[in-house]
Order: sequence, then structure tokens, then C-alpha cells
Amino acid sequence: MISAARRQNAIRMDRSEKTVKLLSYCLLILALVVTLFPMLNLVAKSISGQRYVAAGKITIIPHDISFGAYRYVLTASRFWLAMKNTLFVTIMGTLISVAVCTLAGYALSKQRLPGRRWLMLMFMFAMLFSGGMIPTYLLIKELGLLNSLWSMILPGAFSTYNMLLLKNYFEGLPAEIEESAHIDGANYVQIFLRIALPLATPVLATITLFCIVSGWNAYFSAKLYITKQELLTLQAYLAGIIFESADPTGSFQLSANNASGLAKQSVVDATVVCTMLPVVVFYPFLQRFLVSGMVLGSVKG
Amino acid sequence: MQRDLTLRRRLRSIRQNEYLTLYLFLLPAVVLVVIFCYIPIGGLVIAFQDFNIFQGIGGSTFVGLANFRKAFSDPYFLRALKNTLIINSYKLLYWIPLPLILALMINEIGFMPLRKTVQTVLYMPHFLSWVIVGGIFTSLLTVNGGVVNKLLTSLGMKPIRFLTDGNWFREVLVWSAMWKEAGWGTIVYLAAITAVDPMLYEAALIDGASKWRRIWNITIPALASTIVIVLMLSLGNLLGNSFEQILVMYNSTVYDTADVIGTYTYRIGIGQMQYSYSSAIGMFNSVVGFALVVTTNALCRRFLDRSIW
Repeated sequence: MISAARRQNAIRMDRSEKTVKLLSYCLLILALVVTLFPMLNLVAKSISGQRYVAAGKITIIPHDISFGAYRYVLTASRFWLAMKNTLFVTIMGTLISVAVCTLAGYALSKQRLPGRRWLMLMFMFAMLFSGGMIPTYLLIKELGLLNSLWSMILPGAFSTYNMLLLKNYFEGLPAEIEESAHIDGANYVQIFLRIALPLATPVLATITLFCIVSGWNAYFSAKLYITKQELLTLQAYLAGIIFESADPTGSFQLSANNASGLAKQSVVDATVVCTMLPVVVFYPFLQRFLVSGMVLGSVKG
Repeated sequence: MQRDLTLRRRLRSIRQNEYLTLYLFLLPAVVLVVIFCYIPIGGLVIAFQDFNIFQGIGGSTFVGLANFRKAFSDPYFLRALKNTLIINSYKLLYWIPLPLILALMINEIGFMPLRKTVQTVLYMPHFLSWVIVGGIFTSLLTVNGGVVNKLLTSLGMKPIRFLTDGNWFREVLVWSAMWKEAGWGTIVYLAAITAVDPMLYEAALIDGASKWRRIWNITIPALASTIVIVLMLSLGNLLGNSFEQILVMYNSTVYDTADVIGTYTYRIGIGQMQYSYSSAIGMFNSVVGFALVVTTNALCRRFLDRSIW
């Protein structure tokens, strides 16, 4: 009797297990389609002929393939200027930010440092409360940083959140290594450079990637502080093209019907693709660092 | 014993000399925070002034709380406040269940390479900027050749002006935000799921609990504190969220339903140069946001023994 009941249980359980699996797979496929479709649609439109794009006939399969839109975008000197500005902001911003946060995080990981609590409080408060958009804007203006790429780098260079990730990591390293180095006569600079930094490579990689992504994607600071066309970063340049119908070359407005045979939407879409390409290409290889950073941060900041 | 003591003393004296180095390590961070965080916080004084850029903070007259009083009788500010609350609450409604369900489903995939691929695709939109996401959705939903409207018209329906119709625009905001973030939101849940003791599932299996019961009675309770943390974090961000997304995607035809505090502050502050008034609105936002974060964190610490910081 008992074994019969058990068998009954096992069968019922097996069925529910299968149902859940099947349902999960189906819904996940739906989720993948929903995620990928808008991107693939964009790519397809960027390489399709004007007639098809304007009529809304393109789903994810391109028709009348031409790379004219890409030629149009990639020969625009403004695109490359914007790219140059973005690279400057991203690289300088990342270098400065990682250096500043790592140094501060290391110093604050030393529990005995006098005044540590007050410094922590100062950084935490700055993370949770801000003067807001307008006072910051007026400060940048006072400092003469309007229309300077540094206005996009310096205000966000220190991140309390990233500093805390680093601090927690340094705190987790075994104290004995550093103490024995101390006794051997090493100073903090040497210990930091030769012992702590090499041990912190994984978390440094994560923070560096966070900084690169936020530098590449930075839009609002450009919108706020930069008005000169030649100083626009990629995201601001792109926003102008998508939402204000600016022409990528800056020379004329692409009308809906024009001699070039390009749909305006194709050119816009090609610019979007060019801007998102580096993220899409590099991200899968770097995913594990980014995810581990997210997990680190969610456990306890 | 003696040797140990001298060693320790020596270590202490080295440490004290070395603290100077550590303060130097902290110097760049302190300088940046003081300049770019604390000076603007001090600059909030203009929220209590009738600030004039030519007279500066010293020369402008103080008006007390007049700017704040003005805000609460300004229909546009009240509209922005209402929209901020509505849009962010609406997002919250989906932000809690969607990533949770996605995580539960991802957890069902046993074949690792497939699981990794699914995760990679679902996480990707998180790394695209709002400008790009805005561009993707504009291209998808536009009335001029967008594939969604093409589908609607071919089904005999009227085209929908997703981007200029106020009510539809809110939907676009919420769903494009979910498109971007729902996958990424699964990470915290997936991390918590791996921490569940497998013995619990085995025991339930022997007792004949169905898969549904095991999810409902083991997995979900195990995720409860994570769900609450996510909820608290979002509540703390109730006023600050959505600003950049809306700034990128909105236009004057949808101000009625989509103008939020951030975008309103931007327009009257940067656009119309009403520095004092916009600072007062910004300060209201910062103070309420701060209070929300501190309160939710205190609640988390009290009841869940976990805190955001």
C-alpha cells in the first residue's frame, strides 16, 4: 500500500516537474525574443533599402541590403569627433576614478586609522544626499568648466559606492600578510603597491568595467555642461540625431525622401548600432566581472 | 614573550608614522567630495534666496521659505510630483515580480551553456544607455514605419502614437525600463537561490510535494528577505528614479503625464535660469529622497537584520 502511494506521489511530482520545466523554457524563449527583437529590428532597418524601411516592412530580415547608412555615419567627421571625446572622457574618467577610489578604499580599510568613522560618515552622507542639479551646475559654471570635457570627468570621479566595494575587499584580505611586511620594514606605499593591489585584481577589474560603462554611457552631464557641438560625446551626439532630428554630418537635414536613397531612419539606426556595438561586442567576455560586482554590492555595502 | 612585546611596540610606532601616508591616500577623495558634493550642498542656500547670478550668494536677498511655498502652489510642480510618484510606483509594480519570475525560470535550466547564454542575452540591455534604449524604442514604435504600428494597421487597427500620446507614453516608459533592467534584476535572486539548502528540496520531494509546492514553500520564503531589500531600495529611490530616461525620451506633447520632478527642475533651472526656485525643488527632492533611504534602511536593519550600508 505504502509503496503504491509513494509511486503515485513520484508520478505526480514528475509531472509537475515537467510542467514547470516546459513552462520555464517557453517563457524564457519569449523573454529572449522580446529582448532581441528590438535590437535585431534596428540592425535590419539600418541595412535595408529606403522603400522597405519607410513602409515599415522590415522585421528582422533586411531587404535590398546596402551599407550606405553606415558609410554615411562613418564618414561624418562629427561622429569621429564625438567618439574621440567619449574615449577621452571614458579613459581619463576611469583612470582617475579607479585611482581615487582604490586609494581611499585602502586607507579606510585600516580599522585603526584615527578619524576613520568621521571620514566614512562624510563619504556616506555625500552618497545619500546631494545639492542637486542646479547648485552643481552653478559650481561648474563658477569653476569655468562649462564646455570642458573635465566637467564630465571630475564631478563623478569619486564614487562612494565603488570605494565601499574596494574597502570591503581590502578588509577581507588576511591581515597577517601586511603585518609581517610591516615588521620587515615595508611602508604603506610599498604594501599597497606590492601586496594589496595585486591581491585585489578581481575587484579592480569589476570597478574598472563599471567606470568604463558609465563613462561610455554618460549622457546627462554632457547635456548639462556641454553646448559646443565639437565637444559633444557620442551619447549626446546620438540623442541629437534620434530625438532632435539632427543630421549626423551636421551639414544638411536628411528629409524623408532624398536623393541618397537612404531612409532617414536607417541613418539614425546605423548611428545607434555604431554606438552600442562596443558594448554588445565586449560585454559577453566581461560579463562575469560585472555580475560579480553586482553580487558583491548586494551582499553588504 | 619579551620579544613579542617589543615587536608589537615597534609595529605600533611604525603604524603611527604611517598614518600620514594613509591620510595622503585619502586626500584626493576628500578634495573631490568637498568640492563636488559639499560645496553644492552649501550652495542650496540659494533655495532660500532670491538668487541673482550677478550679485552672487553674498549679495542676494534672503526670502525664507518663499520658494518652497511657491512650489506647493505651482500646478506644474504638483503635476511633476504626481507624475514622479505614479510612474515610479507603476514601475515598482512590475519591478518586484518580473525579475523574480525570470530568476525562478532561469534556475530551471539545467544545461549550463544554455543557461549562460540566456543570462548573457537578458543582462545585455542593462549596459545600454538610455539614449540607445530610447533610440531602439523610438525606431520600433514610431508611427512612420515602426514595425509595431505596421502590425497594428495590418490587423485593421488604428496606429497608436506611442511617443506623443500621454497615456501610451507612460506604458512605453515602464516597459522600456523593464526591457532594460528586468534581466539584470535577476542576479540578486539567482545568488540567493544558490544559497538554499538542497536538503530542504529532497525532504519535500520524499514527502511528495509537487514542484509548484516546492517553489512556493521553499524557494519563495528563502528569497523573502532579498525581495524586501529590493523593494526597500526601490522605495528609497521613489523620487529619483526615471529622470534620465524621461529626459531622453519625452517631448512637450507628453508633459501632462510624463513630466517628472527632475525634468521640470532641468527645464526651469537650466532652460529658464530660475536658479533659486529650481534649487528649492531640487532640495525638496533631495531631502525627501534622503529621508526615504534612511527610513527604509533602518527598517531593513531592524526587521531583517540586513542593511543597505
